[in-house]
Amino acid sequence: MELLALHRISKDKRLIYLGLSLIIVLTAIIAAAMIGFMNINATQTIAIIGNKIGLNGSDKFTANQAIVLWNYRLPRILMALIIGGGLACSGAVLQGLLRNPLVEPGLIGVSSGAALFAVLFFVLGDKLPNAEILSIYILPIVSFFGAFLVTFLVYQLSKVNGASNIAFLLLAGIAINALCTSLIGLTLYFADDDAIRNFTFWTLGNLSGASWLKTLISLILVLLPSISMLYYYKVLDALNIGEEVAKQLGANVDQTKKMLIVLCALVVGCSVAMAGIIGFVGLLIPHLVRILIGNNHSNVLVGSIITGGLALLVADTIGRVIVAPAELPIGIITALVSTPFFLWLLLKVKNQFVF
Amino acid sequence: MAFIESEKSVCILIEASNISYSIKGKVLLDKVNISIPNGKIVGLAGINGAGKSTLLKVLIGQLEHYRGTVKYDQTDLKQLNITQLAGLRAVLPQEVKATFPVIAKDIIELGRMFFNEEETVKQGIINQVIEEVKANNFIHQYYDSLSGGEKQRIQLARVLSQIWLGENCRYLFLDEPISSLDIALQHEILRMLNKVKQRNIGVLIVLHDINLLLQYCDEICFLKNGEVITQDTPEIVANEKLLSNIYNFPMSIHELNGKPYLLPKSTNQFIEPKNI
Repeated sequence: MELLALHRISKDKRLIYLGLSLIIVLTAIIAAAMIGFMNINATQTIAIIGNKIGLNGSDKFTANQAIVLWNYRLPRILMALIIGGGLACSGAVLQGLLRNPLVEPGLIGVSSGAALFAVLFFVLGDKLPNAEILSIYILPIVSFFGAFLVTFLVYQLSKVNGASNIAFLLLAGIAINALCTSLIGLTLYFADDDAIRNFTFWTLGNLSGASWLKTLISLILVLLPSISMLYYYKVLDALNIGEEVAKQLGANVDQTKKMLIVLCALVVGCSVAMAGIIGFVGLLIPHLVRILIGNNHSNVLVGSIITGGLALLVADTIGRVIVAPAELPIGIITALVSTPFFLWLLLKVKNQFVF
Repeated sequence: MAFIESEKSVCILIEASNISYSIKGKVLLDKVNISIPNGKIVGLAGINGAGKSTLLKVLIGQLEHYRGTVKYDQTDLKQLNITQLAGLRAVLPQEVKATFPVIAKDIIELGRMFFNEEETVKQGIINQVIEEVKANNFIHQYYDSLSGGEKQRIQLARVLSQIWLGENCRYLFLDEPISSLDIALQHEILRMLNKVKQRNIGVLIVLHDINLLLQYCDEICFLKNGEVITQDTPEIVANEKLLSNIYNFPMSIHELNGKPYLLPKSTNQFIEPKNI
């Protein structure tokens, strides 16, 4: 596979890169907190955050600024970071696991499977008592099952003589993706007057519903599983030179596969439950990271979490302000930026595939 | 001391007995017996479809549903877990491709990735195997950018690092490792195996070129229709009748530099046969 790889981080430089990227993330958080309909400057931003975690300085900002920043912008910023990181990380993991650089949770139907289950629950669960309160907890679980089901199904469908076939994987994934998306449309059409707005939410993604509770749920069900995928980086590195070879090296490939598929389904399922389908982050970011810092998976996964979070934060902040006071769905921005990149990638690798 | 060591090498080996394997009613292996002694190179040969690859897969633990027993130094293969097995045997396939581009050295390091050991120990072994396969000049290049011969040397370094050290005898399996290499590289790799076997390592090599087998192997095992025809030293298996029968093709044995050399019978007239 003649994919580009320009640089490679040596082991001793990892901490420097990590430190640098954390500084960039912190800067981005503060910058994104400042940007928006209400003006809040950098000093005020830091003062509000400091005030909320117990430091003095309440004389520097107004109460309204504090409410907007603390109750709306900050949870939204954190969710963008978490969900972007989770999607990019699962994209990188699926690429490594299926030994296919073109895989992405959105492309092979995992996201739309999660969204379909979420929508079905949304529509059918309406009749349950306390649906509003319950849904925030149950929705991620239901979406996880949807994501898991599609991942499992696509993987099984792609198996030829025991090994996952790239062409079958993409075709089966695209077919299931189309099926799920149309079923989402169908379900919402019959359900509700608000259908069209909701359909946009599920298929193009939106972070406007962010809250601290959702942030906490995302932290547990998206960020933690993403970080725990790092545990399997050695097997992913070994899989790079073939499944049988990896087994011969002593990698527990079968168990790793099961665990990583479940973890990816969890991350993608919960991301979809929280923010709808956000496409292409899972494809664009891992490749960007692979090109920048090489293909060793310990680096790729950490790099994807950080870069994916940053990318989604930037995209969401743009979506927030570009048509203010209205908002652009985040999926429009990510797709707009990523599609040219995807096409470039396709050109790079197309000679390798015979469909 | 020498006496103890030689006695050890007699009993330490991979011993497969009565191996049968069939898939969808088709018998691929039928009551096969083969042994790979410590410190020896055993060649595995036979026509296409004779069952060489299947037997190799059984011996390395890749196929599970076979009948018969495979013993690694008295231990049943089925009792070894994936990590134990990784420390006992390594496998070099015909060709290894990397999905995502990585540095050649990273590929070598995969050989010891799944062992718990200190970084200094690991790096020591890695440096030794790099020295052994003479790959110093290109370990920092991208694997994809290397030539076929360089790639195969990197892979040899990887499998060697996996079994470089160990209390027990280790085994190296090679499946057509040189079929895409030029003649100089073929001999270079095979000569390396001659050094490798001295490290308490038993080698099994699947190879189509019968003359290379006759030249480099201590024993050769011939398969036909899923059955072992014979396993013996090159001097003994270099028998016109036997080989002609195995390959369904008339052959004649000649002598070259003291080693038996095989030629198809039809070209006999062009070559002066030596004393057989």
